[in-house]
Amino acid sequence: NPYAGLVSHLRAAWLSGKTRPMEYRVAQLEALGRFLDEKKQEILEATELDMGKPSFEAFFSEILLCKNELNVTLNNLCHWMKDEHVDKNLVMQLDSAFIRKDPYGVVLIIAPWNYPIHLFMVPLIGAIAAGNCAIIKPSEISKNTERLVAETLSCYLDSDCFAVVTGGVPETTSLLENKFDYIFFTGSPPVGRIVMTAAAKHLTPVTLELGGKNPCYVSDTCDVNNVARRVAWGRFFNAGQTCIAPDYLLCTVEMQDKLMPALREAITEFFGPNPRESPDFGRIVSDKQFRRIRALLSSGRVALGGQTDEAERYIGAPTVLADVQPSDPAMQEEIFGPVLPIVTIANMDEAIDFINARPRPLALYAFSCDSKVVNQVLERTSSGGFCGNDTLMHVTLTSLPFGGIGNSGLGKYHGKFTFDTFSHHRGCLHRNMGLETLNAPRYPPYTQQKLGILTATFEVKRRGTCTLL
Amino acid sequence: MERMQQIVGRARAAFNSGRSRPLEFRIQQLKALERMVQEKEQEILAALKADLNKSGPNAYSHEIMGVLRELALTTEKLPSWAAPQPVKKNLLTMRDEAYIGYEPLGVVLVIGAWNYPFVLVMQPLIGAIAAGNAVVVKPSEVSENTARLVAELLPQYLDKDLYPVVTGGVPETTDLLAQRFDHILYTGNTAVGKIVMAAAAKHLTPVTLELGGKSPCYIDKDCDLAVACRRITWGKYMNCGQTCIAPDYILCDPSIQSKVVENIKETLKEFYGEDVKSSPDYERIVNKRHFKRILSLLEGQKIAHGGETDEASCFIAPTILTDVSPESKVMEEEIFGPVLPIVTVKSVEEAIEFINLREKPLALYVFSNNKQLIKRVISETSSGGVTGYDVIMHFFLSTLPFGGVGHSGMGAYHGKHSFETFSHRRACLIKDLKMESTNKMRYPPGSQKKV
Repeated sequence: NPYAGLVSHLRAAWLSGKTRPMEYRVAQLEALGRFLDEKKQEILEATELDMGKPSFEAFFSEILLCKNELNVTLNNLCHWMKDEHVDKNLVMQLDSAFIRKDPYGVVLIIAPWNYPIHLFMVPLIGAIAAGNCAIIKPSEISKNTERLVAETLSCYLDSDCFAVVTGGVPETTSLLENKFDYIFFTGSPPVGRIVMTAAAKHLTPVTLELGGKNPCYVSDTCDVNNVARRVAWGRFFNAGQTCIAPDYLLCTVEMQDKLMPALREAITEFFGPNPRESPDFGRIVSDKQFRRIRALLSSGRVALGGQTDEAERYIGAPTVLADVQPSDPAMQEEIFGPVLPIVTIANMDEAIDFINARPRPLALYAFSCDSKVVNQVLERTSSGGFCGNDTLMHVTLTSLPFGGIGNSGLGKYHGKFTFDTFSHHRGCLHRNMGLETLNAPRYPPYTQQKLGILTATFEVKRRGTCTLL
Repeated sequence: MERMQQIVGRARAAFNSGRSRPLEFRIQQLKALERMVQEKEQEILAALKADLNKSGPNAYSHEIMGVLRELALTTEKLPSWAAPQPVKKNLLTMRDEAYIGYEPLGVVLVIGAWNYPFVLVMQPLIGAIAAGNAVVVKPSEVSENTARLVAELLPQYLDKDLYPVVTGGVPETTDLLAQRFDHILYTGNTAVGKIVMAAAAKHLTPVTLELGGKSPCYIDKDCDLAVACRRITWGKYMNCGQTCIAPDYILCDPSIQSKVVENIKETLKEFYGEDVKSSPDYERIVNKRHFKRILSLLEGQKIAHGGETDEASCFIAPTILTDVSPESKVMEEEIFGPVLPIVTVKSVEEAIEFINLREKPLALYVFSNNKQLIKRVISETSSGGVTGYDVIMHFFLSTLPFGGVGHSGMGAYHGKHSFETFSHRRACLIKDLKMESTNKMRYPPGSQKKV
């Protein structure tokens, strides 16, 4: 077990209690802020090398959103750490009852390659805020960012309590043999199963942020141009390599015809006449992913884009496939690329049935000028999160929980939810040492009379009933 | 296997029909459960007596009262719990609707335990119904009378397809666990907890595991020993020690060990009389296998009180062991019986170290007049829950989440925590299709100005 030594080292630091005081946590969090500020250029360069991430996007997702989470956490940490006092029943009026937020101990954060800083940083912020030690395992696929994190993060964080482990599948498998007190995994459902199975051996609780095919329903009554822009933005951000990207569109044949020119216009507006030359359009992260996505292009008919260049791992212009059938390749797996299939349906009911026949997605989108339509789709489906009339934006609001359901994941985070994810909520009752006579009814010998007293004092009365004394 | 597929399939079809979702339906089912508990009280008490030799008032206060309380609370609060929760918005979302919606997960599996066989099936069931789910109930086969009764009663009061009861042992449970559920709540032991979680992992099913462990009880020199020992005696020997949050063992200074023993002995006389075996309030060990297991823990131990047993009736007298060695068998596994080992420690630091060297327990107890000491023990240890200066009681406050940590479990329930455990909190952001100009900042082409 090559990592046993490292895990013990962190566990010893954890047992020493040094991560618990608020001042310590604040100092580590502020150090993360400095990392984001001082290494900004390196981060933009590494992510560009890894997947041609446009620096505008990299700044937004890898720096700005992370700093937001950092600031929300630093602004509220004191309040979040406090014992949460709870309502008491009659018997416990003189007692102290509260929920204590205990750190778990040594946690493991496994991050994917598509937002390689953000997806370890935001969980790490919550893990540190909650008082844990952490091992960070960045993805080996975004290798430039992996190297950057492995080489520089330790300069900012306390190396007794935080470590970065690099490597691929064999290394991750070895790492997972160790006992952790919490595991936070972002990645694909099949690997999510492997992580949870490994966690089960140690009864380690987990949060799994997975994925799936996020449906995007566009009703006939909508502002076509706005829809096209918002959908195109969400789909082609990071060259489609986003877990919450709108994966496929559901609309009527008429709407498909109207959307096509609008999508073409939006794409041109965003990326110019030759997206290959636009600094704002990314590339596919690896040859394997590129080939996988290319194979999906034989679905429906290519209405926009569709060219590929293996050397550059370029798929573009941003591609839209029309008249895609449910049995086509593009509808069999999460696309995770700059390809938007359109599946036509007759009406909203058919769209809802289509969505409900498939695994529950991480995100679900519905566009309509008619708010009743948006609400219908929301109410009659299930998904991790939902955004009406836009894409992606629900995850930028830190007061909303971010997580999946069913195949798209379990658990949630962002903002206070990250802090709560990495804390054990410990129910504490601090009773009075006196007043022992009040306890008498609970002790044997048991009698009907004692039972009567217990019932009277312990009972929750339904509203609308009253006891006449 | 086919039978399980059919049962779960029917529950899923019933859930997909949507009928478990409206609040009126859920409240109606909860009210039916309430009627069931009230109308069948005698049958329930009889089953508990047959399974664990629990006396009427005892069984009522530990199993029925809690259920009625939970039903009343849940039916009253459900509308407010289920209401969408608006959240704080930022500048970009100021004009939008942003809220967290509470939605059912789907088909939930509740696996009960034998020690409090009625309440440990009912309390999760109440939360799961309240959250709008279909629920497959699997009571423990070890408490067979209660299992049989639950299987008979639930279909008489509740929707048969949405809330089926599955009875059986390990093979049936294994078949059940191969099916896909949307949440599993399991109450039982650590070893089976791992099996449940591994099965759940195949379907990426979230789990709540209410397990166990050795719940430590630290008695400080500075405390009212008479009161402390009375409360400890109550919590330790109720249900013949077969309580997941019973104080498993005592840690105290050697100088007070004999006083502790004396006080507990006094209290035992007060509770159960001179002849414990003939007290109607003292339970029995659930079966021979557990009887033999607990008996073997007594080997080589210094018995300061008790130790009498009768295999035919699975009777084990309330027993106290003194000067117990930390390495002995009785200190290795959760006792789950009326045997109370006392391990001596010279200081609270030693006690804290002792506790932290072991797996995190479900409950932790500390008795001291010194509030600071109690606070210190809580802060320097970890456990599912804590009661200071008493035992068990944190279980009875439903505003406190009840659950374990580490080997004692994951997740929590009771009261609103049950509702949240069995719900999906769905993030919802509803924007306007107009106001496109505010979006222009985020679209390519990128520029420093936009940044």
